Amino acid sequence: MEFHLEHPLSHSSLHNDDADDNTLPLPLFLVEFQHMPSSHYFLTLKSSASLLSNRNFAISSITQYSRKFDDPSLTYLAVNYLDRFLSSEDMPQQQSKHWVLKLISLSCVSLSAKMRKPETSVCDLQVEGEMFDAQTIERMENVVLGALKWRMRSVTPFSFFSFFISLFDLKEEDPSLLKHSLRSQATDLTFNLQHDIKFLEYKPSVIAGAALLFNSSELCPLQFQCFSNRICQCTYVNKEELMECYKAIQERDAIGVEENEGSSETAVNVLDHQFSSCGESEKSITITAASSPKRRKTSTRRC
Amino acid sequence: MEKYEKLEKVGEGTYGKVYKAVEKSTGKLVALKKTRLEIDDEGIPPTALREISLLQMLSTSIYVVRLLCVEHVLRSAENSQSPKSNLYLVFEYLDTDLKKFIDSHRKGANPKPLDPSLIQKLMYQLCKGVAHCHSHGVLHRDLKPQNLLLVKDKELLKIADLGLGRTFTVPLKSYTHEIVTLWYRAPEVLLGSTHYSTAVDIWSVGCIFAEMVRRQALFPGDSEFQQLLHIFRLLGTPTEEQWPGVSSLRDWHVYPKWEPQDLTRAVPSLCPQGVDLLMKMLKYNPAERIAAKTALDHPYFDSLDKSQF
Repeated sequence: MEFHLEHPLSHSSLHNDDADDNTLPLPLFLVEFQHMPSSHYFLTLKSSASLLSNRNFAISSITQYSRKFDDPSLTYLAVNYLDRFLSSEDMPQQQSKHWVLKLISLSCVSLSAKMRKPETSVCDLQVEGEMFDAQTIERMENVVLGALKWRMRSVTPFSFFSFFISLFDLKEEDPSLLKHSLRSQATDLTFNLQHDIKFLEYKPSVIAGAALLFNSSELCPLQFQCFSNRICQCTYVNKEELMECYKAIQERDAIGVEENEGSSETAVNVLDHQFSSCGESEKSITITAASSPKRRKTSTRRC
Repeated sequence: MEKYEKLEKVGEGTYGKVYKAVEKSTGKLVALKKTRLEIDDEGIPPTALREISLLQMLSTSIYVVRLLCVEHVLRSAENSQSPKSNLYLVFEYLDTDLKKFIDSHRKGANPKPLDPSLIQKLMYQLCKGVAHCHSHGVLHRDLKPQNLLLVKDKELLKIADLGLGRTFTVPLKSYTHEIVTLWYRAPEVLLGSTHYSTAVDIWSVGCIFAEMVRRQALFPGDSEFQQLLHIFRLLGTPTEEQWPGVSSLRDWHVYPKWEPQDLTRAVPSLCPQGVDLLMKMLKYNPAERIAAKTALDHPYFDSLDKSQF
């Protein structure tokens, strides 16, 4: 009964056998915001180099502590806990000492391991040369649990893949193969997006939809439009946010992944002008609207 | 825990002591459930972690008692030999439960039946709550009137005491060695089936439904065997045709062959639609028992104004 990112709400395998993937996972949409870092976090990281370096240091510690598990989901969950913890009130908004960040990282990995691999021992987690005693880790775990309000069944983009994929009406001879490729590519992409602070502001469902769209544009470009329409029709998906996130993934891909990682720059500024060249052009056009005081909303529309 | 002032012990739940307490800063009443955790050097046990986080998610439904917060009180540094720490689950406080409510209509100064429209309302909320738990893959396993809390003036019902599994497995004997009631237990559980599912909760819902109408338990058995006999006497001894595989269940014996009785006689004041729903909840074959979600669309609820829920 270990915790699966794909089924955060399911306690047992009770419903997984006859899971009706295409029913709207309403509870997920309703609670996903509870599993995101608070909204100011993204802005703070963008403006504060010391907080960004806290995060980068902690993520590399998490990667180190969780390496032996060889379980990307476990690492992903730990980083989700980390982001939520760092954005909580319990965390002073200043540069932190490395040992503090290591202790936080270790606790996040320990909690994630308890969700994913219950037989793990905390003692196995530590790296040679550093020792936090068990009581210290326990206390830190407790602080993290309190800050996260014990919401450890994180709703992540992975939780939405099945539902979105079920909306894809594939006309291939072997749709299951294509669906499988879509899911596995979107899974890899989502793992990578987690480190990029640009994507911290998007809801898990938006990232899931955008990642699937991005991969569908490569795997089955002819069906892209249809997928995109289907996802946008879903009441709980904000079309603008979805297309903005999709665009960000495209840009990240165009710039090159290495260069982009850890970058706090957004590439939105190239889209600053509002232009409409609808007509013969097959390209997508972008309209921007300053609908939100804190940030610009962009949306892409195909003509 | 200094945030709360304990007022009185209100019970010994299946998993530990329950206190009525007041949150000092707000004056709000809460129910504190204290559970001792065996802590070794591994910090919070994984099972507790996974189950509490699930409880946290389930309590998003208004038909489930709200878990307000969790306080994990670690052993103190001076007393670090002690392998125990206390976990307090802080729930919203509700002042009555369905058992007390039914009792007050049976005994007391002015005994009278529950209003049929109130029964319908409470049943609808119960099915909603159970459907919510089931949609998250969680079985309650111990639904009974004591576990259904009421906000009397608002006619609201909330499910409490969700038993989730290994940390808090439903024991045969409760904390105080009081025998856990068998009255609401599904026949497949009584017969030792190991692969039971959401249908066990529906059986309990059916028994609770009948009890609201009758103001007394439908199957008041005092042992597992007696419990089965109570059921068989009313619904008839189950046959292989009705319930394929029943005679291969672990605790199946040869029982007297009773014929099914007319269920209406057990719940004479219940309307025909209500009897039909009850029958669907008390199907022997767990696979045929109505699902909580389906029950919400049953004609019994047609006359209910569902927009209020």
